[in-house]
Amino acid sequence: MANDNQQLDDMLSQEYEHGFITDIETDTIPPGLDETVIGMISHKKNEPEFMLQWRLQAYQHWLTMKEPHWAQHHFKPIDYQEISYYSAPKLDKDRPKSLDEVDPELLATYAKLGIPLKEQEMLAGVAVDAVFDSVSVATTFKGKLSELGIIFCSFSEAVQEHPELIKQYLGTVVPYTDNFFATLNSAVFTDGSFVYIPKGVRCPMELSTYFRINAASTGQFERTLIIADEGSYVSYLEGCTAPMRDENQLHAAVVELIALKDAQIKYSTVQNWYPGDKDGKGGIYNFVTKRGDCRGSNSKISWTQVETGSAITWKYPSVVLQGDNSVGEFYSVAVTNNMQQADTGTKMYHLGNNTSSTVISKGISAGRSQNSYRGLIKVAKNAKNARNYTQCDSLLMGDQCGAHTFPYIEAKNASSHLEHEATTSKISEDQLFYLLQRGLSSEDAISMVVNGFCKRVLKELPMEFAVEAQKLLGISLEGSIG
Amino acid sequence: MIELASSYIDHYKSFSNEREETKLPWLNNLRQDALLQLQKVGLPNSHLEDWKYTDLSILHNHEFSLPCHTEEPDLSNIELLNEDFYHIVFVNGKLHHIPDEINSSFTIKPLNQCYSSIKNLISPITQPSIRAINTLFMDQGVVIDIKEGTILEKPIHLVYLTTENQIMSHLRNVILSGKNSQCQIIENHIAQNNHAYFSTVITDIHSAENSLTALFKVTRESENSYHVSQNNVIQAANSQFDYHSFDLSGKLIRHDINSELNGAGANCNLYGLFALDGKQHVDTHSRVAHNHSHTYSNEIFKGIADGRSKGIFNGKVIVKQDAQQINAAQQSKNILLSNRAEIDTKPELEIYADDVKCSHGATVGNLNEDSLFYLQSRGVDLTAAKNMLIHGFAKEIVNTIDLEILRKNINAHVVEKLNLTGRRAS
Repeated sequence: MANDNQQLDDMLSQEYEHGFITDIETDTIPPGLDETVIGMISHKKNEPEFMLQWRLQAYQHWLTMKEPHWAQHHFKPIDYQEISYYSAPKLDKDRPKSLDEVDPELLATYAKLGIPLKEQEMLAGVAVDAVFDSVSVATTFKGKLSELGIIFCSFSEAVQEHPELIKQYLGTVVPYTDNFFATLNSAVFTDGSFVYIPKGVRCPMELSTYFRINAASTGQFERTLIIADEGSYVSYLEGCTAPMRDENQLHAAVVELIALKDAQIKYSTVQNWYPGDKDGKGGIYNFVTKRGDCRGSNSKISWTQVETGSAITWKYPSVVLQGDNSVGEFYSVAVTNNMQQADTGTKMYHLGNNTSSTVISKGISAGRSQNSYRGLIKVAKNAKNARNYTQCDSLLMGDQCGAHTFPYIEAKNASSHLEHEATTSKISEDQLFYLLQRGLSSEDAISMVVNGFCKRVLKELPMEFAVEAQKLLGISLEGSIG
Repeated sequence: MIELASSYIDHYKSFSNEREETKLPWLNNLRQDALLQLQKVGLPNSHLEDWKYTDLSILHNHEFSLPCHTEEPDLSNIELLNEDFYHIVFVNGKLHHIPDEINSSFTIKPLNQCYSSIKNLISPITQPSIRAINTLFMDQGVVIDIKEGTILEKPIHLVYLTTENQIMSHLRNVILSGKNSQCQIIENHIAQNNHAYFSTVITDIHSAENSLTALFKVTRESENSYHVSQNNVIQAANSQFDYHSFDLSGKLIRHDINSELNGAGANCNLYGLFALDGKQHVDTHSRVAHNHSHTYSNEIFKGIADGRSKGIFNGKVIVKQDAQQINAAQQSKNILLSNRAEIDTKPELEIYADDVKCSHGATVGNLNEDSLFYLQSRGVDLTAAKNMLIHGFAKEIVNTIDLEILRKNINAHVVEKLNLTGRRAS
């Protein structure tokens, strides 16, 4: 074994010589995946040895795994050797020179969402030389946060500055053996966010990746780790409502949340990546592993998500309810239109005593899209008084789309109390008629009914987000009923 | 897998040597397909999503063989045999009794005498299920043909009695419900000893327009038995199919009910109740496919699990594209009485049309504390109070039986089974 490692190390260090030097020039690793590439990523990030070992273990394990196809998805096989696993931000010459070169449909959407011009440029990936407001905003925020002892930085920074925290918590919620995409992510992730909230601190503001979007370009393989120490609270926002243009087709992110005793984490996502065109060409494949661990008693983790983008969404934010009296929540709105496919839901593992979980999932399918809820509620043998309430409703628009529900319920303790209910129906003609008769246009009427349908989830979002998300729902469904 | 299924394949070889039906090439082909599948995947096992919780590969630990000869069985203790029904009796997987006088409006014939007439009704083997092994050994069973416009005044009562140890039986029935016909069919699975045996029963039902078919299935197999059944129902316009299932004893029970609603106005109602204790394992999978507009389905499945038992329900409603104006409701309600028992339930919806009303609900819980307290405060002791609540819970399904004699009979068995549970629980 020791001999093997030695050989491996030799090989890796050999490759670094030219690998690393050429890299400084181009800053992109050629497509392909092997241990050398992983070594290069790790080296480039100047990571400590344990990180490299962890990545390599993940890679070895990944080689033994098969791409999962159990979800309600259809996509062409992905060639993992075709992907470049490290690329620096794009060179200016490859980017659109100005907004004039950007897809007008995209611009129209920005205008509807009321996004300032500067931000539009950034979102569309226009090369801008002067970095705008958000950096200064981020710096002011950072000062405030560090006064409280909160660590909020990119993952790479955290590896450099707080390796002990990374070593202690990385992979403890989503181990590198977890699933095909999480394992791939563990081997090759390039960056992401890291948050640590010290004991008893209530984070005074919503932490958001949006603010520091330019600081660390969010890669294909993001990794987020949030630790809420005893008695702390944090609300974290991911993504933004504006459609993001991205050339990378495969996205495999991992998010790990850890809530210690009495801690609370609220994680909100608005995902609106490029869904492909009307015929389903292009678009992002979004294979995400998100899991929270309520490690201490009385802890709480709450997931809220609004999923409108991506050609394929494969995402099951889960909560492991280990601590006694811990609470898990999942609120989701998933909208699919045209040829989009979404297979999303949650898993709640009730392990401690008196744990409770709530699942509210609203799926809206339009066009020729397929929208599935897939959930698991599991009560372990020794988990007394587990409580779950699940509601998953689907709204269908158009006769070509599909809405599916696959709720797994596994109860092994007699004191558990689990309820599940679901409905699937089309948008009520009576409601539409009423609104039309009051003078609303049919688009507005639909948007109003849809917003009402999603209200329970939208009200869980932080306020600014909620307003944008509402608009977004309307836009995503535009033209779906004619 | 291949070696696991090998004992079955050996049995098949000797079985097929005794057969004469080599004259029927289509049947031979069908058996060859079944053999291939069995060789490829073996018996359905937990690698398949539909068999996630029920792994039949445990059957490979047993050496079950086809029964050779059977002694004259004692039928005197069998309930309902004295009733004025049309009785069909199978003993150890062999047809033992079939009604003699059959009037012209309907016929009951042994399966192996009418292969040619049902050739087109025997569906090919598409996915891993027990259909493979059942097809391999298919020989015994009946074909019930209810002619157009016939309303059966008496129910047809099928008794499946097992008296021998270490045997397997594979039965296949075909029921043809003609246009505007009505019939009630009772399937009674019973055993006389605590023998270990493995039986598969496939009853396929073809419901023509406007027909009404009610199937009552009571499973009271031996404590060491493995019972696997499948019902494929193909329904034409305005036909109705009612299914009532009661699983009371048997070590492992698995039911698959697949209903295809192929014509406007087709309607299917599925009701099931299982009451488990000890190490029982009961798994019910239902699949209702709404292939045509204006079709309706309703399902209520209830379960009570005590001891170290395991109850599983998986309901699936599929609405095909362009099948509009659908109503489908699905309910799975379960009571867990012991911390060592387990309930796994999954009510699924797969919907490809938009003008539909589909709902499902699932609950798992224990007896309501408030109700127990209320009853106790009125002077009812705890055991009686528990029994009362459990019986009330089960009653909803028992009451779906409109045949009074049968309802009373089943109710007595359900009460007996649940009382035991109640006493143990207190």
